[in-house]
Amino acid sequence: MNAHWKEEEFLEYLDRRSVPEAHARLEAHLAQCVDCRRELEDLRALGSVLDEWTPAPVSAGFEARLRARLVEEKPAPRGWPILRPALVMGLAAVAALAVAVMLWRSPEPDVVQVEPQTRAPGVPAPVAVAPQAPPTDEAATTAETEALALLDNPVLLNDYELLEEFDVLFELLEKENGKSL
Amino acid sequence: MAETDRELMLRLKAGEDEALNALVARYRDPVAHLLFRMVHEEALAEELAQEVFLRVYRARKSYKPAARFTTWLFRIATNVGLNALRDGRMRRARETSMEAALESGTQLAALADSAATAEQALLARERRDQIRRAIEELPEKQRLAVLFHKYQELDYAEIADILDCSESALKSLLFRAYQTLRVRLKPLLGGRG
Repeated sequence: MNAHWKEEEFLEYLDRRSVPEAHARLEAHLAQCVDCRRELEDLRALGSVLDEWTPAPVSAGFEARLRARLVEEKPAPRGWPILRPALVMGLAAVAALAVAVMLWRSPEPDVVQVEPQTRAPGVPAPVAVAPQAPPTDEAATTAETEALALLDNPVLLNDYELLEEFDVLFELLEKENGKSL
Repeated sequence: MAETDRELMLRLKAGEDEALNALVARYRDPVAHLLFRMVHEEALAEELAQEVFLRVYRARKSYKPAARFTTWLFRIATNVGLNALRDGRMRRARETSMEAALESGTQLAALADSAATAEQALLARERRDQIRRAIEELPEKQRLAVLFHKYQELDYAEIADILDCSESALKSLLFRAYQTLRVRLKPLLGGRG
């Protein structure tokens, strides 16, 4: 009589994973060995009992719930960044300053007086220097309207070049006031 | 011809999120059933199965096709299940589930067409509970080996890979587990075992 079956041989035989040569040898032994036959039958019976433990079918809403959880996982689509209220307020303040600077830089018409001085003979008489033509009220109103129009258009406010123009206005203001803002 | 798991994962990795639907359709039941047999509560098992697929989605960029998809998937499922067992979610869920079972058992008995049918249903449930308890009481590695071998029908190499042991060690684990179960489930084996 051949040697009794080994542990893994029972498993492989029941799983139909024995290699053909081993299978033939195992069957030859089984025909003669009551102990191995009983062991094999017990394992088969155990397998049938374990089959009774069946889980319930997965519920119909499984995929829908998973999809909802996946949506929560995904990041929001990218686009124009949403302007935060603080940023909007800041830009509004900058625009208001710009308007103020434009209005402040439109003084009354003036004539720069040249100090009377002794002239050397042949030196031409001093000329009254006229300042540049001041912006009219109409021009100031137009600038103000344009600045306000910018505030109404958040997309334009994301434009770097436009924001740079505000920087230029800041610089002008600094020069006029002689100090940094 | 159906796409392989690997092809679907590579599509998911490349940004085609709909590839996940095919993987969920293919592995929803095996994953949910494995987790049910680990935590013994249907609603919790489904929640955990969803967690498994979410983890697959989150890890899609790091997926390496060298690994077998099911090995990777069941490793994730095993970790999710074991974590749930360890953090006590199972115990809380089972308390709720036992209350529901008692209630539904009462309803079942009341609504059965005959006393015999109700008795059979209760008997079947009692047998399932005995099997569940017998498996639950196995050491963790033996228990997982039985779940993968008996109920998921994975091959030895893959189970050994998931459980991080050799094939021969796995066969030894399985044989000892089945011997223990034979003793514990003797009353159900019809006088055998």
